[in-house]
Amino acid sequence: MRTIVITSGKGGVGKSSVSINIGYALANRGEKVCLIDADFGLKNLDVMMGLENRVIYDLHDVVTNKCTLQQILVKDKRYDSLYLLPACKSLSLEEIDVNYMVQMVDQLQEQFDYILIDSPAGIEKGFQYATGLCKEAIVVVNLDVASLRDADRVIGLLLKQGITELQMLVNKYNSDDINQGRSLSLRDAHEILSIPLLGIVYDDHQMIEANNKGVPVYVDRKSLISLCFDRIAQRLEGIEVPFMKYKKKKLLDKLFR
Amino acid sequence: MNVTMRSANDVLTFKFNEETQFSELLGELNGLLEQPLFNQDGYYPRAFFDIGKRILNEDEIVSLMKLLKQHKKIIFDGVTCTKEKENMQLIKRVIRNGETIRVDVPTLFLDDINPGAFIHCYSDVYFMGRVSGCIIGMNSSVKICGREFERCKISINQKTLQDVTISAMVTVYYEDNDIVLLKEEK
Repeated sequence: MRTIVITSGKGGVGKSSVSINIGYALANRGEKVCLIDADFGLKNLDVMMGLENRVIYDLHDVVTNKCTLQQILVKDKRYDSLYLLPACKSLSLEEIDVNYMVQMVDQLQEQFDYILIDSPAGIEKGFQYATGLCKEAIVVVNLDVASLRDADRVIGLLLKQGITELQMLVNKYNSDDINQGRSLSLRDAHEILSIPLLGIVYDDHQMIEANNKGVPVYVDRKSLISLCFDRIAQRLEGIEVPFMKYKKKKLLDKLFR
Repeated sequence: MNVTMRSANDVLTFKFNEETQFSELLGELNGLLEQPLFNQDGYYPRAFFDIGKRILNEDEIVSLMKLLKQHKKIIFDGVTCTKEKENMQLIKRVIRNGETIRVDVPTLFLDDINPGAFIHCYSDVYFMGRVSGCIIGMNSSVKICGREFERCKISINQKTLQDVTISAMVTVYYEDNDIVLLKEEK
């Protein structure tokens, strides 16, 4: 079993979307996956996965012994092997003992192949909390200066915490912007961060639409983004696969979508 | 005698035997300070302590000072200081945004210095990778050498070069109240 934190430093780069879709891609490969929403106070994974109405208990209820750890896990609608451990608005980080969280993750490790922790933005206590629970990290970046600078800072902090298994995932990759020099390139990102590239996810309006509808983009198995996440999941499992190539949508595809 | 005393230019020099235990030396010094020579009214000679290659720890320094204070016979004028041989320090990793490194001995950085990283140098620094951070020489004797600078800030003794971008062997140093960037010719 592996426990991986998905982090970035900067907000808005797509950590939560990436967490959910990697979770789906791994579940599609038959892995048992638990997604932990570590953004205490601002929970949003349940909304993006369309599971908001299925959340009955939250972490606060476990801490106060109102329910068991098993009872707060929410099973996904589409994949039986994918579960969500939702965050709770009522509980602040200060109220949860770190050791308690470590014990909880240890317990979950017995049941799952993968535990993916969606870290909150920033490098404050929430980030330290999330990163303190694992030994591996996926650093999500966009190809802009601010995102890469923040990611660089985050990588320094992760290394300090002893997390040495680090991989970079480039989200919202836009070939047109790169070709026209509006955006930085993958090479720039690699030069600054000096960590292996796990994968790229193309910029697509489908992602926003999917998050708003509560239907993760991975579910649309024909979409380019879904294929990107398939490859990411394969690379996570140690399979060497080439990066997805961007194919522009044909006019007919756009008309009859 | 493990502690010998000689006088030159109104300064007394106490020479300590390097082989003898420090506590024993203090005992002998105590005996010397009780000599009639030091009991003359208005005689407060300056005294320098030659301890050879011995390196005193904090407790030993404190006990020496306590002894001098207790007698109030001489004015402390200093002690020999053996400087440890400076070896080149090697830093192999990338220095990342937000990190601040203090360099006290000559240091070779093998990897990149990323934007937002700060290197405070009290000794010479050499960079093998790309330097995009901020390099600050904390005194005028510091030399900064590198071969790839990209929008980097270099400052020595409060004189600054902004946005340095060069792909050539370069030495930056301080001379005649100004910062000098010397590009090595091939």
